[in-house]
Amino acid sequence: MEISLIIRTPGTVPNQCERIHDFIQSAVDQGHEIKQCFFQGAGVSAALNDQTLPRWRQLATLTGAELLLCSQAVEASALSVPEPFVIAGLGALVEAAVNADRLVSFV
Amino acid sequence: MPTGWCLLSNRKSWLITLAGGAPTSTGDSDGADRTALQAGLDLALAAGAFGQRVTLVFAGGGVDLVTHTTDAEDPLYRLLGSAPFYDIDLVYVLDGATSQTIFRDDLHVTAMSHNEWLAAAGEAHVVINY
Repeated sequence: MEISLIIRTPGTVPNQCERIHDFIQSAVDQGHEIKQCFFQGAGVSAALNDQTLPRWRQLATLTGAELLLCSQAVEASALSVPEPFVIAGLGALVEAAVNADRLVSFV
Repeated sequence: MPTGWCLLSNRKSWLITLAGGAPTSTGDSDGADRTALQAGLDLALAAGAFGQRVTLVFAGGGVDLVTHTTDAEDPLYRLLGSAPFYDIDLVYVLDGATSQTIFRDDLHVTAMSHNEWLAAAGEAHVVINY
């Protein structure tokens, strides 16, 4: 099954990033494919902090998933975008949802 | 092939519920997270623009956006007014609506019960709550 994720989890929620990473790891272990992770709102800055960034890089390598940062949130926070993250608009999220078998949202 | 054309050829049904999420530091006095409402409404309009069938439901802190008492100059309130241009002609309010509730008159607003919401969620390809 092809799965895409919407991630809006702020960095202030304890252990939530670990839960997302565990979900992805479990999905891959069970033979599913993670197509895209779309980070939106507070999830954008949470994905780019020093603790989570290395893990997201690992997961991108493991899964081949696209890591998309909502352009609005990037612009609002004036963040620089490190690889493998890329900036994307809502059209990319719509496309991810349409093409995936499941869209899973983390808030 | 243009992306928009591909999406139109793969039309899915979406159920997007705007409740304002859990109360946060950015929330209104009533607890509605306007950032979440904005994100959900933006996504609904984007999906509509890409030819998706969108069912838009308001609940909790999101209901203010469809009532007549809301500040008509509020940017989110005005943005929602553009929904018909994205082929979202009908919006729903999840319970909460009473006989005294006066809805905004620029949109078709209809009450939806929890059972109807569950049925809609069961039929939709994409279900997202904000």
